[in-house]
Amino acid sequence: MGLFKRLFGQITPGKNKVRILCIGLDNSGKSTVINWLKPKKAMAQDVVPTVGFSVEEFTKNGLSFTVFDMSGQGRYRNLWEHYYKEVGGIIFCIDSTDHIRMCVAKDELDALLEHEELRSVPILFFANKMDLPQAVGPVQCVQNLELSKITDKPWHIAASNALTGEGIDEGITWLGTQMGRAARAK
Amino acid sequence: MAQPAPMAQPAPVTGEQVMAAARANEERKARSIWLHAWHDPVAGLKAYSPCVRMADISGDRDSKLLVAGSDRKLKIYKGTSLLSENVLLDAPVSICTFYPDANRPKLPSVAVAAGSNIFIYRNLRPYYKFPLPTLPVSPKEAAAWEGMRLGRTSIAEAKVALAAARESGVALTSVSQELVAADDEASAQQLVDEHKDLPLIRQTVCTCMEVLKREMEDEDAVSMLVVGTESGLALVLDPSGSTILVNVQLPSPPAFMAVGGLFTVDYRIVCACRNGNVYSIKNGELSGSVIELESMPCGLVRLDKSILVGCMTNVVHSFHLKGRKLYSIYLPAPITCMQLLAITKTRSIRALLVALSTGELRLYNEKHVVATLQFNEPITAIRFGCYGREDSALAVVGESGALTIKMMQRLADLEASTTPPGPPPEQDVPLSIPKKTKLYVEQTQREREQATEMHRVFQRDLCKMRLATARAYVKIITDGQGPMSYSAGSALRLTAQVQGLGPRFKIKLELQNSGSKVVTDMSATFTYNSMLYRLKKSVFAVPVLIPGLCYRLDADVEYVDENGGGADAIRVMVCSPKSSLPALSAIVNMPVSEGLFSQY
Ligand SMILES: Nc1nc2c(ncn2[C@@H]2O[C@H](COP(=O)(O)OP(=O)(O)OP(=O)(O)O)[C@@H](O)[C@H]2O)c(=O)[nH]1
Ligand SMILES: [Mg+2]
Repeated sequence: MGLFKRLFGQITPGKNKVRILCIGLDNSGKSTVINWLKPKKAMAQDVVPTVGFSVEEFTKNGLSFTVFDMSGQGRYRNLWEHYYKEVGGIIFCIDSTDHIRMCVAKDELDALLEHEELRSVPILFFANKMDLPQAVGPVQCVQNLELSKITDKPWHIAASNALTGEGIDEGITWLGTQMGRAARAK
Repeated sequence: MAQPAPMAQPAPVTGEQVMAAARANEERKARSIWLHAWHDPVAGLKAYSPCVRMADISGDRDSKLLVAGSDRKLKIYKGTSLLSENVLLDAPVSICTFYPDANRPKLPSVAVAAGSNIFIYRNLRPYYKFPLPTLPVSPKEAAAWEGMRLGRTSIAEAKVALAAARESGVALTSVSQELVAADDEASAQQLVDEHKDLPLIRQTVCTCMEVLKREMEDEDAVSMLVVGTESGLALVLDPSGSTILVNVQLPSPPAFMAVGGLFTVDYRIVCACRNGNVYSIKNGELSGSVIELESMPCGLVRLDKSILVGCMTNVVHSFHLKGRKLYSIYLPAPITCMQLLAITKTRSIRALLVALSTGELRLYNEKHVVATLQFNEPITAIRFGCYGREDSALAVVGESGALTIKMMQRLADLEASTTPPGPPPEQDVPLSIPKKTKLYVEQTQREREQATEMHRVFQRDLCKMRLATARAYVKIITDGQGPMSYSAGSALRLTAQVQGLGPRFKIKLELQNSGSKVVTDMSATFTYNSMLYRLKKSVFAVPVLIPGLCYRLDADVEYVDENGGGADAIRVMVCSPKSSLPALSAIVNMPVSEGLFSQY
């Protein structure tokens, strides 16, 4: 997969464990995004709501890539912060059709941004489900979640459709570049 | 004199620490526990709390908001949009959702209590109508109608008989009531023609409706409707909503009901009735313990083992289920709605929401306020539950028909202990009292012994000073001795300045009218020692002084004393023709003149 080559090409070899945390409210499409990133044969046909969290590992070009797919359900959200240690990047999925819960997404995001351990960790936002008619664009998401107020870490937002993979490449490429930069700076 | 005992050591906490802790606590409180999700000011809803419910009626785990409005419209909201709108046949009093069976997929039915029927909807389509049981018709009324049908009594006679029956306390059917009230013969005749061959039916209407689970506590477990009627009945229907399983007669029509427990195990229906009493039905039997309220109930909520009753006297009483009074919450304004706030999934919390007529919404944990929310209009309905995919959502309907959705923060602090009742934190801050020196002690002693005298001296001096001030003031405003004048309703200001080293000087005058009226016909003159000074022009006419403008007058003064080195004061006076006293005056102290190089 060209995408992975691109992603890992930018991360310095040697430091070969990259930890990515995928979070967001329930039903926002986190597992679907990660499912799409998996190699073709490992892809699941049906994505079911995650219980607790699940860990996906892919090895490519001698690099191992660990994604923590956290559950977004209210009762599991307190697990998120236990996995913030040594995280290289964060993927935050936003269900861009769920207008009524934007305030909840913002509240969870604000709590995350305040966290000391995530200082200067790059965050990639997916304004997911862009294919649906009620979806709002990434610009509206930036406004609703007040993303422009984030100053202490690099961030990027991409509209995505996790079912077809549209927009995911672009976002992941950005995240790879950022993590590569951070790794080189170490 | 003995030195007083040293002051007690201050507490180890410093003032800053106490205040910082109090501030941090306050800040946390101020950050509202409610997240603002959505506000629709033009939703146009007219509904009370029993007519607003949340339920997952389509089985997609996306819970909807159902609002049965008194404008006879059933509106269903999904997220931020109106999903559907159905017309109701009668004004609703309550809307409930219940699971009639355990079949999958589990879809709840919607029941709307309106008038004498309960309309049941499945998949948003009318499905079934349950009419409330009819009431017996009194023999007197039946006889009157029988007489009319057989033509034995005239309509007028029947009307009198029916009115007399009503007077004696017989409850009439709605048709008879209409007949008694009909004032012209034609309409009475028409009414009788229409109804005389139909059976007489006395109907009752529904006053409240709630849901009771049958055998399991689960959210989607089979459940049944509990209905209160105007005739004072409390009915429990079977899960399909077609037959009455339990029928209990209450002493008065129930206005509010709170239901708890399981039908097949143990259940209790608490009814706050129109006679101001709260009755309790336990497993189908009216229990003997009655709670008598001091005023009419206006809200009822059940929390686990206790019931909370809101009264018209701005108070919420908490009673144990057995009837023992626990505590009372006194409120500053009338209660408009009361609702239960229950969180079960992420943590276990049961609290009381109370809306006041001031638009304030308070959240009480036990008797402590843990959060407040201010709306800019009185609230007519509140409902807390699962909306969309959020488990702790709050829907609020305002008097203007506005709909507001708020969501509770996941980690919201609802503990009552965070606000310790009692004195404010400032009280614990130790004051920085200075050390008691010998001088201080002696002074205090003196003050104690000669207090009267000191006070008298002080008062006398104060009076003298006031008198001196008043005198000086009077002098200024009447004599025109100062550079300011307030006479004749105008306010003038004069400033004078001397320029030059001598023997020639220039006195620059600035006259300003700081009042609001134009002053006319003023003149400025100088009085001086003519042995020392000579002025080219000593009278200046000031024909008009416009408010705000600054008028400049320059007077050339020459020092003429041959001995030189002398100086005197020159008086400047501004006079008005209306008064013999100058309006204002100033004294210009002339500087000592330089040597005289006179040409004369
Ligand atoms: N139309 C559309 N549907 C999507 C998209 N992404 C995800 N979905 C659907 O959204 C639903 C939820 O997706 P999940 O990936 O399970 O969501 P999640 O964020 O992992 O949810 P939790 O594990 O419960 O936290 C699934 O039915 C997906 O098919 C998208 O881009 N477009
Ligand atoms: Mg998932």
